[in-house]
Formats: sequence, C-alpha cells, structure tokens
Amino acid sequence: MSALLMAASLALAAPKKNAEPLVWNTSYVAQGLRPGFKIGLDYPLAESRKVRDSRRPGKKTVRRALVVEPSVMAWHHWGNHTPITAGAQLIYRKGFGNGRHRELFVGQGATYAINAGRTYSFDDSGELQGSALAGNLMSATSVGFGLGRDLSRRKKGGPDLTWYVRPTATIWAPYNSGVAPVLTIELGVRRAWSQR
Amino acid sequence: MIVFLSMVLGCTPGDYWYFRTDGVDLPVRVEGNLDSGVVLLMLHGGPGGSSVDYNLGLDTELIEAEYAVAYYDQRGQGGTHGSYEISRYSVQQVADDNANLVQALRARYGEDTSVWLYGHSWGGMLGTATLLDTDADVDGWIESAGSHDYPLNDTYTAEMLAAVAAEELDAGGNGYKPEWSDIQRRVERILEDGEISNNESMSLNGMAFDAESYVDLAEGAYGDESVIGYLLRNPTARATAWWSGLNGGYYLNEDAQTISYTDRLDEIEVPSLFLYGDRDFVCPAPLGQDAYDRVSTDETAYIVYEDAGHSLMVNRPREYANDLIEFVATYR
Repeated sequence: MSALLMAASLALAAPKKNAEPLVWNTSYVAQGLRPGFKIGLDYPLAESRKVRDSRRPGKKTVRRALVVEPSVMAWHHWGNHTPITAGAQLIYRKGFGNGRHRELFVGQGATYAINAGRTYSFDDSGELQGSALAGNLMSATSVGFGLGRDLSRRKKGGPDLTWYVRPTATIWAPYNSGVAPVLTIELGVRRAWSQR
Repeated sequence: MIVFLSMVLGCTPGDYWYFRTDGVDLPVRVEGNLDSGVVLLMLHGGPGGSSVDYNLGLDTELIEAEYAVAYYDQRGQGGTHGSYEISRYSVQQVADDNANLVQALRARYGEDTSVWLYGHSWGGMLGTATLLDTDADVDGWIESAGSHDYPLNDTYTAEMLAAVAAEELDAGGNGYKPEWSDIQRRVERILEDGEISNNESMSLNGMAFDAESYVDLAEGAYGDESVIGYLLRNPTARATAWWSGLNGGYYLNEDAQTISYTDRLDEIEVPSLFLYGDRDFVCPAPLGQDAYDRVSTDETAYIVYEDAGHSLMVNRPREYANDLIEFVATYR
C-alpha cells in the first residue's frame, strides 16, 4: 500500500504535458448518523479511452483513469471524539458514455481523534491538568468503492458537476489493545469528468 | 460546515470529561447531586460492557437525586480510546485505573468528597480487586450482583441451575420443559468431572442468562426518560464498543477465570453493602452472603430482593435505590 501511494505521489509530482486544472471535490461524510466533511483534490495520474461496439445501435466510450486524491476529512461524534484525517486515496475509476462512473479505491492516512470535552491527567507533580485538544494519533487504512453520475450529461444545460457516493471501510490502528473498524459514507460533488 | 461546527461545540449533559492514565483515555460522565459531597464510581458489568447502560432507569433517577454517580467506561470497553499493550491488559491494570480515577475524582470535586465504589456483576470483581490490590482510598463499597470469585460463582450457578431445573420440571416446566431439560442435562455433564473449565464456565454463564428468561421476575418500573432519548444522548459508538469489548473481554475473562478473592475478603474494612436478586443465576445470591460474612467491618448489609434477577435494579428499582441511598447516608 505504502509503495503504491508513494508511486502515486511521485507521479503527482512529475511534470505533465497538457496538465489539467486541479479539481477539488467536497463531500458530506457520515459515520453512522455523525456528520462531517471531506475536501480533496482529484488528480488523474493516467487515463485511457476506448470506443467499443454497443449492444444498442452505435458505439460506446469507456473511460478509465487512475486518480490520486489527497484529502482532509473530519467528522464529529457527539460526546465521544472528533477524528481529523489527512491522507490520500488511490482510485481506479471507470466511466461510461451515459455519464455514470464506478470506482474502487484504497487509502492511507493519519487520524488524530480529539476527545470530546476536556481530558485530564496527573502531571509529574501530581496535579490534575486538563487539555481541550488531547486525543490519539492513529494510522487510517481504508478501502471502498464509489458510484456516481455526471449531471451535465443528464440533460442539456445541466450543472457541470458529478455527484458520487462512496461507502468506505477504514481500520484505525492502534486503537485500545488492537484496531478499530470504522464505516463511513461519503456523498460528494466535483467538477464533471466529461468537462475535463 | 456550520452544522458540523455547532455540533462540535455542543454541550453534553452532566460533567463530561476524559481521564488519561497509563495509555488510555477513559470517558467519565458525572451526573446527579454533586452538592451531596458523595460520588459513586460506577464499575460496569461485562467485561465488554459500557457504563452508559447504567445511566438509565428509575433506580438511577432516584440515586442521582441524592448523590452524584460517575459513569466511566473501563479500559478497552465502551468509548475508551488510546493505545496500550495487550500483554499488560489485566484485572490488575483495570483496578489500577479505578484507583487513579478515585484520586482524579477527589482532585476535581474536592479532597473531602466521599468516593464509593459501586460495581455491578463484573464490576464486583473489579471493585474487590481495587479494594484488595491497590492503594485506592475509598469511603465505601457497594457490590450489586457482583462476582468476586469466578470459580465459586461457577459452582453456585451450576448448583442453582440444577436445583431450579429440577423444581421447574417437577412443576411441569412452566412452558419451558425442553429448555429446562436441556439445562439439566448440560449442567449434569459439567458437574460430572468435578472441575469446571473455561469453556464450561462460559457455557454456564450463557445458561444462567437463558434460565433467567424462563422464570417470573418482578416487572419493575421505568424512569421518565424514553429509550429513544437515552439512545440519542448516548455517546458510545456501539459497533466500535462491541468490537473493542469482544477483543478486550476475551483477555480479561481469561485473566479473571481463576481469580478468587473469597479468602481475602476479610481485608475489606470499609462500609460494604451487598445487593443480590434471589432469581439471579448469573451471580447467585450466596456470593453476597459469603462476602457479607467475611468482610472485617460491622458497617455492612446483605440484601436479597425477591423475584429479582441479575438486573435487580430493574426488577426492584425503588427498594434497590432506597436501600442504597440509606446505607450510604448512614456510613458516608
């Protein structure tokens, strides 16, 4: 995973011909009923297009891309903690002529989960001291898939946006004496793929 | 973003804080009457449980009207966070957390605060361990359907299951004839070889909970808070807590399986109240009688509630709360 992400980062740093403008995505993230947000940068590393015969009359275009998405995400679990994650996802995306796309991804990041309320501990002199930002640092390894649709392809004059939904499973480690599985769902928008 | 920030900055009921000790952050919620100068440190059941499950019901409302109750999740359970070595995870380590938390409660609410340990079920094991194997300075001990001796607990559970199964079958089974026959057969098999293994102990525990659902218990009464209200203000991540508790519970159960404090109960000198249910198969009432007979204090009481099971505070909330309040008022 680390090697894969390192390769992605190197590719990201490499100069590209006909570089595309950077595309930001923004999403609402929910962990159960707990709300959050994610802001990411959708950066294609490699892309291909193939035109094939369709079962219907005509041709269909299938577009594939390998995308890296550095991102910052946070959500709030009331009375428990607020995890903030910085990381990157490596995404394999496949788009179809009707504007729909599917994707699979793996991600790696670091999460700092700030405890709700103040966290007290005894200092070296035996005094009880409180901190509002105390929390725990963990690695966050994720895997998931996504579905979405280009709104500009749905009807003429549609917005130049793609919506997407991504259920994601993340493993936090270390967590207590082991690891913790965390499930989130991301509902987001970014600039339409067809316009790029 | 606005909704997110408003929720981050939102308030939680009671005095809610984390206590960091030995690699773990323990969530602590103190609710009730802090002006009383008494804090009951709730040691929840399990292992693998959560203190929020005790922050509900009529008994809780009555007790909190008189005293403050500190609900906290034990290391590796409920809403705890942190990172620590599994090799050190033990009853002793959790007892040490309790001792440190007692100190923190006094540092936070006043050095003259009367702090009592209040353990239910598995919390009975931890409270006893805290009293006997740490230097915790507590003012009293309340053991509610607690297990301070796993091997003895297993023996009492097996004996009670066998006796009640025979009684119920003689009386026709009360609609549970196959279930009681199955329990009778399995308990006989466990008792045959004289020694109860870890797996058999777990099996007895499962049968004990099943058996409780086959007998008539007092219906009890509920508090004013709705279950939905409770769930909405419950900060524990249920799935994470379940996973964490499963993992941690395995190690703690392994450690506790051979722990027997019965022969050391005479080292307990603080006021001690033992509350048990007469229909509790999980931690049968004779455990409480044993403890009551052995502690080295005259400031003690042993109360058994009729038609009450392992959740005796649910079956007999008014009597339970009144007895507890009165005992603490007498010996605080």
